[in-house]
Amino acid sequence: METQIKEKIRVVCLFENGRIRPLVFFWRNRNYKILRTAFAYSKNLGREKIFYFSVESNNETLEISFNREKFSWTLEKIF
Amino acid sequence: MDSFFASVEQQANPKLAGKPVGVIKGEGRSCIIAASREAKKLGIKTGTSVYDARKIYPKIILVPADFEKYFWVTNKFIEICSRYSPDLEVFSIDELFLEVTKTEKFFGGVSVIIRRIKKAMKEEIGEYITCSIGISYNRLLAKLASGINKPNGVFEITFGNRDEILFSRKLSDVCGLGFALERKLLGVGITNFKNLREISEEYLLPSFGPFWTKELKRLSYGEDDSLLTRVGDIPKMKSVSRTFTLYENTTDLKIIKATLRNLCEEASWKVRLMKMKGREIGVAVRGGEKSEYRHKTLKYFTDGGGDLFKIVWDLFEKMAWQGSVRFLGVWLGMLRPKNGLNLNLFPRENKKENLTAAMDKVNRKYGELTLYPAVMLQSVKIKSEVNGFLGDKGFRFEETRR
Repeated sequence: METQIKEKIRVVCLFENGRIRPLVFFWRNRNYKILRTAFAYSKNLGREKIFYFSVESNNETLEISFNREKFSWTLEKIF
Repeated sequence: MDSFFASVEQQANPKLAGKPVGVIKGEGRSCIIAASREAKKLGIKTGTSVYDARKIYPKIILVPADFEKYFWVTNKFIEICSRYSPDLEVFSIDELFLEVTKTEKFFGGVSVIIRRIKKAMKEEIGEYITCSIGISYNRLLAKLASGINKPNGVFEITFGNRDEILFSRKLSDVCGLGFALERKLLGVGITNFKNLREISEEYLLPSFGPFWTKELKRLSYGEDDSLLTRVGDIPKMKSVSRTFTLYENTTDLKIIKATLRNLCEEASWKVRLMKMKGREIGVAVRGGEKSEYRHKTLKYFTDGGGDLFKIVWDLFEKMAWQGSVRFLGVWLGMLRPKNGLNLNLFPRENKKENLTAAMDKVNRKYGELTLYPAVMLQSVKIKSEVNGFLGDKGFRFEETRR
């Protein structure tokens, strides 16, 4: 059962080989170390390009997104 | 690609991996449009109703489709395959043909290419999304081969094993021979490709006519001399259509009107993006056991959603539809490129076009249907989506390049 969150988060990520690799993010005063990015894809919303990442952290799977135009990260949902 | 939509969902949410998953069009929809490998093993497949799927396996997990996500994977798959040959034809959202006759020597052979494609898919898309590959000397047999060793398999049809494979298949397993034609063949006593090959053309002629008699004979030998159509060579679309199945039957004219207006808005938006205009307008309605469609051919070309809707609504009213409606569709056909058509001389028409252009600019910047006609205010907004058959692939790939 998915839970929609849609809250802003802070993220530490690596830009390498033409890809974005999120490493850790901070949400509601808690650190989430990303153990694995299971899937990454992008969508266009008008002129905005948004990159989505399904990430595994501890025992949770979450989806975070990066808006390339607004340069902001969002926690989209928890799977 | 294997169990494509469901595999993408399982890759995106690893908690679904290994579980029976059914992809539905949206929340509240009653038909499974794609089933995971695990669900297929239980007998749940594309087209199974949610009710029947739950009878087979009550714990089936239903996931609403996300076509933009799937189309992203399609584009990535195309990019990976295009590293090995420029001769690539996109057949559907999860199938493509790759002609490697001239390029295989640069990579060490077909099996090396296949290994590299599968490795790249695993590393660059995800390990749960796999593909089954068919190899042969023409499109028809390559497609047939791709369905033989699934999932994540490879199969080759050569001159040597062609007949053994063809004779063991159902008639409708071959692309180009659909269920209607298969039924007709069964009706005249032809049950497999061996019968079809052995029977005389004179026997087939009365039931199938000269064209299909020759085609069926060619199919019985697995013959196909069609060439690949590259993405850049896809012919311009001749018409644009959009259909929608409502969540429930309705007699509410407000809902019907808003839905038709929405569909007109989407069809005309697409036509304007392609820089085209059309003059054949049609509407299709289904409800209960009835279906009807009407069309009108104008003397002028149009690309405006409002103009399209005026005609569509007029056609709908003329149907004098009795009973409830479940399905609606609109289309704009006889498309021609805009430059080449006469300019509008009337100020009122120019004002309408300028308003539409301004709305399009806002919608391109902020997203489809940021601005929309007032009649759609209270209704659920239907946005454009990629369809599984990629019937509008020329438009979709142009949009990707834009």
